[in-house]
Amino acid sequence: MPIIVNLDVMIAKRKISLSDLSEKVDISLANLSILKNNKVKAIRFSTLDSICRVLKCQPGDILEYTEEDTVF
Amino acid sequence: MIKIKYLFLANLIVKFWIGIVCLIMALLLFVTVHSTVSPKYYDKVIFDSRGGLVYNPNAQVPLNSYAEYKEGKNPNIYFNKLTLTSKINYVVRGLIGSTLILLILLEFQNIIRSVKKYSSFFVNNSRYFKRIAFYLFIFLVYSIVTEFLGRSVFMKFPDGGVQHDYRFYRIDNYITISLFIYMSLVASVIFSEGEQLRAENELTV
Repeated sequence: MPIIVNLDVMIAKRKISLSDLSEKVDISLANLSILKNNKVKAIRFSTLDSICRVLKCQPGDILEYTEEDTVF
Repeated sequence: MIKIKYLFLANLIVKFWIGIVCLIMALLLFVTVHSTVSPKYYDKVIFDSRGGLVYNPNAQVPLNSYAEYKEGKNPNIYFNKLTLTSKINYVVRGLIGSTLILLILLEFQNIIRSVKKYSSFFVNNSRYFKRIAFYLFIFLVYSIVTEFLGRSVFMKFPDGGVQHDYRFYRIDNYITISLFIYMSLVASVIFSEGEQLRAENELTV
């Protein structure tokens, strides 16, 4: 998947735990965990809005696009 | 709330028909055995023009000889006059058809259970629909083949016997079953896609 979620980086920068973030954004710890581990298929704007508001960051700070390496 | 009500109603209807089919299978076996042991109770049980077993209270008393039958005094074919082989043949055909219908009803019950317990788009629901289509197909082929081969019954008298072949192609039934096969396969594809969307939705935060 070319979209990388850098949630762990932002959590470390803001010095907040995943469980605290989960309480503040009202998303279950399990869902945040799969988001952090790049296992999600999609993210709602409402979720992105909540996370960015709590972590005081931009969507680009959490989501990063990388080109997939093609192997010949 | 409405979903629960509909599921409850559907479950009730399926259980009812499962009960009816099991009763028919039990009756078929009972009638076969009892008519062999005590044939006098089955003097009014005859075959209709399509080869189905009916109870006709106005049926004449069964004939006692092949000579009387040849004279045309009573054209009815009586269940209690059939040879044991004919009876077993008839019952086995009935049981095979009933078993296929029972299997289809049980798959419907599985679908209702999984929708109640898990989700409408549970992974196995697609498989249940495919199995329903498969059983319907077997039932269709079985119905056509048995009609084509003819449903023979042999009525035995002390001085001879008479064989009667029943053939009645129920074209409207075959078309209906074919439509149900098609619908089950389409439902299977829809539920399979629904399950994928559900899984994707679960991985959406």
